[in-house]
Amino acid sequence: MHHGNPFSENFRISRIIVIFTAITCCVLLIIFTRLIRPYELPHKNLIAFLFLAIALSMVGLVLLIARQSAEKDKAHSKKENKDYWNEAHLRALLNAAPDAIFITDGTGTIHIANALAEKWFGYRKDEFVGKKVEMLVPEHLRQAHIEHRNRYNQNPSTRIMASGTELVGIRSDGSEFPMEVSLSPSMFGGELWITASVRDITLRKEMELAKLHAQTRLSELVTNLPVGVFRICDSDLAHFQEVNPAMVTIFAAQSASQLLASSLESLFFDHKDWSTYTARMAQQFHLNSLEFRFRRLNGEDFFGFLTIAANTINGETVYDGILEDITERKQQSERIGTLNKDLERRKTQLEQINQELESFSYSVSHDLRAPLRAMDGFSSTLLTDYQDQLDERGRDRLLRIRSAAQRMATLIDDLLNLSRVSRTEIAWTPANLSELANGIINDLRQANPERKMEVKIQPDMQVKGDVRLLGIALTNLFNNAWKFSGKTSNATIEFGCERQNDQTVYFLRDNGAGFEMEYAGKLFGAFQRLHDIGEFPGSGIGLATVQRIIHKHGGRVWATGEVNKGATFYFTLKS
Amino acid sequence: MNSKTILLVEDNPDDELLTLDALKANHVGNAVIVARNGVEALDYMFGTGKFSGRDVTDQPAVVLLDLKLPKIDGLEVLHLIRADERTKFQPVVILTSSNEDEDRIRGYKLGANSYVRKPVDFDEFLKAAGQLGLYWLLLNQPPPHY
Repeated sequence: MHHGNPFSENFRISRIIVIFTAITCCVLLIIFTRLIRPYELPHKNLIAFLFLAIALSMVGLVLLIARQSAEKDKAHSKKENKDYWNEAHLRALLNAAPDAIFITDGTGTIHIANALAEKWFGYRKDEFVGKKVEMLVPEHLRQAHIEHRNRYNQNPSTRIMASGTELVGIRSDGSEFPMEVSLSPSMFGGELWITASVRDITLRKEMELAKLHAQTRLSELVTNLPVGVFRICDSDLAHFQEVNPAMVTIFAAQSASQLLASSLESLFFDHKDWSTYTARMAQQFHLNSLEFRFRRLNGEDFFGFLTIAANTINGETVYDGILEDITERKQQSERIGTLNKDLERRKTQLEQINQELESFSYSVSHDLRAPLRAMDGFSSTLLTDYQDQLDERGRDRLLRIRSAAQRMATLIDDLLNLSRVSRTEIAWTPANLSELANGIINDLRQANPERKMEVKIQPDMQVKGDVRLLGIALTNLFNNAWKFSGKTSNATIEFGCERQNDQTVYFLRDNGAGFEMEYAGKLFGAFQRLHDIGEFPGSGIGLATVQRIIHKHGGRVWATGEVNKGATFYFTLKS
Repeated sequence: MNSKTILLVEDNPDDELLTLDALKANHVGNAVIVARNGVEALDYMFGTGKFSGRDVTDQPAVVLLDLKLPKIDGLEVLHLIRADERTKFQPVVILTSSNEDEDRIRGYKLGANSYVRKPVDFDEFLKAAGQLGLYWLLLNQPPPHY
């Protein structure tokens, strides 16, 4: 605070000096009178008087000076009221300012800096004072700043923030920030003083940049959009005012300007569409995804969805819209339509075929059996009613007819079962394979009470599947095991499950006739038989049916075997 | 056996003959009336057409009904028998070649008393005919006149 407030400071100091001198004189007088009292000195009283006179005159002088200074103070405070008694207030105001404030003299030397100046630039107040303002700008800008300052000094004027130059400031830690500076010159005591307000505009800069980026992104978006974006202005409803590149592409124009020059009417393929468009625009000022047929500049036509909304920009009405070329989509939906029709037709065909198959199966089941029944039945009556007239050979031939008829009946039933399995939709429910197996074994035991058979069935094999179909599959497998161990003593059937490669594998093992492994692959084909009919009767359809059922359950079926040792059939089910 | 009749509805002459043979072999001496299509069967039941004037209070002990019949099929015949007050309790046994689930379900839905599949094996057929005769002519008590 050197030049800050010279008046008030001087007065205070002179007052203190005068009072101090007066007190000193009084003290000296007292000391002196005490000191000389014991001595007999000539003119002792004169000397004391002299001292007293000096002291009194000093007091008088003090009073005079005090009065003078009080008068001066009074006069000054009248004249420069604010500067004088609001100095602390002024300082508080400076510190409360929203900007960093520096007061410099004409040489650019900083005399005063406020609190924000300390905060933003990272210096203490006393680090500013006496330094050139160039300390606040980065090294490479300092020379230019000096020149700038000198130019300003030649013609100092108030330069407010709005017209302020954007400068770069440097903090004590070397970091830089954008700042805006306004300057106001003042003359005081014949000297030029400059008040500089500095504002940190980092945030504003960032916002401006963000806004610019957003605008850029938005315009990039419009430019890159694959749909046509356009603007029509109220003052010229016959032309586009702005179009994006997609519009140029859609209309097959050479350039945007070519498209802008084309009349909107010419871009509608049908006049009817143009009428609709103008009518709708006149009524509602907007369109929502209306389909029109347009004409490209090369004469081609295309279908497009048009959406338009009215906006007011700077008091003028504009119509912003998007146009989507739907030619491809239309073609696709036409293709899908054709495909769907095709599919529908095929579905109907398939349903017809299925229906025919159903009625065919029904006929087979019903009509093919009747003649067989006649063959068997009449052979039987012949055998009974004419047994006297038939010799051994005749009876044998009739028996053969009966046996053939019955075999064919079984064959028909098996075939029907197989086709039924294929047609059946699986009804997934919980199923207990162990229970199913026990039931089948009971039936077999009842049908063949003479057979001795050891059966081991693992209890509680719970699965998910179609109970009826699984029953048919197990019946076929157990029938096979039962049949092929018919000539085995100590015949044993074992049904259980085991874990193989993280999968439950069910198996049915017998110690019967078995089969040669080289034919294992043929086991599951329809009408495939590995044994003579005379030896083990059967249609050769059972295992084919088993395979179809297991496949329908998402599982696999396979078998291992050895002649006269037995066979094991394995299957899995979808878990 | 009693004097009750049996109505056999059967279009196939072979099956008709076999059924008659089987019943005879089982010593079922009751009169067997044969209807060769659905219309004839209904005429017999309701005393119409070929059977007009018949005393319809005297109904057969059992109707052995084939499903696949000319003109009106077996299930339709069953439906009409059940729909008529006079015959709604008439014992009807479906005797057919079909073992289609659908036929069995529809047969029972329409109120069939039994569903018997004609076996190809005549020995089995004999057994079936014997049991049917025994059951429906002797064992079963028909509904009283109503």
